[in-house]
Order: sequence, then structure tokens, then C-alpha cells
Amino acid sequence: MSTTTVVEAWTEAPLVRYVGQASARLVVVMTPSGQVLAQHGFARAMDLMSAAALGAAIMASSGALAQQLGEQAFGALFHAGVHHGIHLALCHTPRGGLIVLTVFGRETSIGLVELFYEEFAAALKSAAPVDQVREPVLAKDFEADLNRSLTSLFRR
Amino acid sequence: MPDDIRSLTSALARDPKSLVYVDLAEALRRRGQRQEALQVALQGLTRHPMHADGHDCLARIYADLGDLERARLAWSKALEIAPDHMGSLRGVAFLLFRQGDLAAAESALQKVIARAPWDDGARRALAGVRGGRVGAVAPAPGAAAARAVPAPAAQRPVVFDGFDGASADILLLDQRGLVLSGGLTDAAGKDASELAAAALAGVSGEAARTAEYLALGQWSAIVAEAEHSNLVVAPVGDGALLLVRRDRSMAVGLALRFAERARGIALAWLKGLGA
Amino acid sequence: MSEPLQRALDRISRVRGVRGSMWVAAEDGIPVAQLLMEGVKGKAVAALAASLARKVSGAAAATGAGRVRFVQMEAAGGTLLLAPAAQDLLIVALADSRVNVGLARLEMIRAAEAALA
Repeated sequence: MSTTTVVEAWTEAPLVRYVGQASARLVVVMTPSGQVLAQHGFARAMDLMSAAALGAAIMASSGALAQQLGEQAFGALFHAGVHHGIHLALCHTPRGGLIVLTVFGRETSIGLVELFYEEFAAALKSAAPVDQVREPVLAKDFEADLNRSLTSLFRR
Repeated sequence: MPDDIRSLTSALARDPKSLVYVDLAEALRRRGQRQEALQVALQGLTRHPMHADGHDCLARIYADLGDLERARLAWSKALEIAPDHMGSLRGVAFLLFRQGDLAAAESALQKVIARAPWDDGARRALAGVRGGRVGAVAPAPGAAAARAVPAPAAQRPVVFDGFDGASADILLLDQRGLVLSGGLTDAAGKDASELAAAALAGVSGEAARTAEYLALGQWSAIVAEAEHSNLVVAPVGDGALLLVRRDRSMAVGLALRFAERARGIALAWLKGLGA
Repeated sequence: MSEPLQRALDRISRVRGVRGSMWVAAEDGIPVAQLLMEGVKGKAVAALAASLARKVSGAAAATGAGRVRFVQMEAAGGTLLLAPAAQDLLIVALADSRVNVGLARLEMIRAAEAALA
């Protein structure tokens, strides 16, 4: 089993390659509203939902701060912990903007994560289907979409 | 994705608390997907810390990865939970044999046979240990079979005969970090080959990746000048790796030439094995 | 960039065959200061050199060789040189096959020791 699972198939190959190159422990690919398209390393839906929600919230907050400073958006965020680091970035694809949250440990480095994240973002942009621009998710559809994603990711 | 892994994955996803994680981890390990197997086993054991089969499975994965110390700890844990656990008893016997403790390996195998007289593998292994024959030992339970069977220092094939430091400063290993020939001793004169081999396998992978990404072509050698000695690491043939350790008093250029000669010998030996 | 760090990079980069030199934060694999020729990808060099340095140090420890002073990785198309310095820094040089390794090595070890002082 790969612990990589995806809702949208085009994300799988780039994600598997990225995880291997960067030695990432956990990765979530999601929409800015927190809907998960692909993940690696999560064993429980609850953990994945929390990570996605928090990641999306952090990006939304930093986006608001960027606007206040007159920037369009910040490129990437990096937080360093004692045992783990997180890397959070927004990439633009024909399917719309996607947030990638990466959690990594001491067996790799932020330098390697950043290096391979750039390749990953380019691969997502290249692999994304161009004829299916994602519609904005309405609040009333959100829960249904979320449940469908989780079902697909954890095959419940 | 193979059917067995697909169905095991589905079963685990349906019920993350089930014990099917062991079957899934084992299936992944047999397919060579060791990192995925490790993740599954570790996650399963967080839910079932007193599951002897889980610890046994984890130990096999670590053995495949060349981390014999962690394998030993996992098998010890399994035996702590279930002293008669057959897989773990065989595993411990394998480790003892790898470490060269033939008497303890024999004792461990006798325990296995006492509990399972039908275990032909254990009987053959016991005969091999008693005879002291290289390659007569049954493969480690679940450990990936190596073309050249790793053997304790005293019984490894003599490849670098006549070279200075043939069994103390020259090591030939495969890409999994398993020792093929030669040996490395620590400051106290004890065999440190396996620990070194496991560390070197990581160097090889990193060198290959670095050379590829920086468009440097195929890497041919790493020379590391260190406080106490100089190390030369070089790829040999298809996947094997050579380490030569020389005292700091030997000029680096000379160490490189020495390593090149040793590399030639190693390549010829591997070709002779059909490896 | 501090002057001593920059001077060290200038000296190393003047060695025949060196295509780029940099100071790297060893733990993070991020460039701190660099002097690179066109086409040399600084971020990649920094991240990969730091990772290689870490692996080689681990192997040196496992083999009882002690603390690593200098590493040279030879490849068909060039050479990567690195030397650990103080305060979690690495000095790294990327060179082609013609490089005067002896001279580059001397300059790098000198720079690393100056950083230690």
C-alpha cells in the first residue's frame, strides 16, 4: 500500500514523486477552502480534516496580512519546530489555486523540501486537466464535498 | 496496485483498529516497499502496542532495511510479550548468527526446533551453524534473500587478500547496506561492519541524487578527510559499494589509488559471482 | 553579506574550474551567501550539499573516522567540494572536471577554519 491517496487522479504521480524526493512525512494538497484533493501519510480522517482546515486558515490569514502590506500573496511559509517543520505554499494550476501543506522531520531539511516543492508545483500545474475549472464551492455544497473527499481518501 | 494490497488496504481503511495491518505490512515488505511497510507497522503498533506479531513484522522490516539494532529491539519486545513466539525466536537466531555468536544462535535455533520439530528451515539453519558453513543458514525469517549471504566477520568471503587492512579497513556492501565482503573494525578492534554498511548505503543514494540533480553525470568516488582517518567510498558494478579507510598519514591521492585497485578486485569478484 | 564570508567566496571562485561557491546553513540546506556562475542553481546546490554532508558525517561517525573536515565528490562531469565550518555553516564549491582540487581544498579549509576562529 502506498499511504498516498488521492481524490483527483492527476495529483497522484506528482505527489508520490514529491514525497519520495523531499522525504516528507505528511502532505496535504487542498483547495483554499480546505477541501482535500490528495494526501500522504495520514492514517485517520480526523487528523487530515484538522490539518487541512488549519492549513487553509493559516494561508487565508497570511493572505490577508499580505494584502494589508500591499503584496499580492506570500509565496510560502515555513515554520521550524524541534522535531518537525512545516512548509505551506500556494500554487496555481488550471484547476485553480491549490495549497500544499508539507510536514517533514529531521531526516530532511527545509532546503530540500523547498527545492522539490518547486518541481512538485510545476508538475501539478502541468498535470492538471485544463478543461475542468473548479467551480467555487458554496457553503451548502461544502459538507457534501468534504464527505465525498474523505470517503475517497479513506475508502470508507 | 496489486489485488492483495488493494484488498488489505481497503480492509484496514474500513477498520483502522483491525489487526490486518500486519498482513498489509508484510505484503508491502515482500514487494520491497519497505518504507510503506514500516509506516503501516508503526501505525498499527500505536494502536496495538502489545501485539507480538506486529513487533515481529516490524523487526523483519528493520532487518530488510539493514537496521539490525532496531530489529533486535523489536524481536526482543515480541518475545517479552510472547516468549514462545516462533517468528521472533527465528529472528533472534538470525541476528545472533549475523553477529557471529554461533553458540547463542545454536541455542536459539534449538528452542525453535523444540517448539516446532517440523520446522525444516530451522533444522537446516542449525546444521549450518554447527557446521560453521557460510550460506548454509536459512534466510532470516522474512529478510530479503541476498545473492551473497551476509556472514559474520570470520566467515566472509576473502576478496581483498593481500591488501593492507583487508578485514579491518575495507568493506564491500550491496545497495541495501548489507555486507558482502571485507570488514571494518572500531577503535577497540570489534567488528563494526554492519553499522558502517547501513550508514554507507545512505551516502550512496545521496551521492547519486546529488550528481543527477546537479547534472554532474555518474558519481565515481567520495573522499572524506576526517579527524582520525580518510575514507574513500566508490560504487562498484551495479549497485555495490566499496569503502576504504586509510590512516590520515596516507596522502589522499594515494588513498584514492589504493581504493581504485581494491575496486578492481571487488568488481572482478562480483562478476565471478554473476552479481 | 559579511566581508570575511564574501572574501572567502571570492578566493575560492578564482580557482580554476570552480563554477560557484557558497556558504550554506548546514541544518536547513539554505544558502547564506553565494557567488555563482550563470546556470548554477544555488538552491539545489545548497540543499543537496547539506544533505550529502550530513550523510557523510554519519558514515564517518559509524566508521570511527571522527569529525569530517573536507569532502570531495567526484563525478563524470564535475566535482562537488564541501567543508564544514563553525556555527552550523558549510562552505561548498561546485566545479568542473578541470578544477585544481588541491588549491580549492586549501582555500575552503582556510575559509572554514577562519569561520571557526
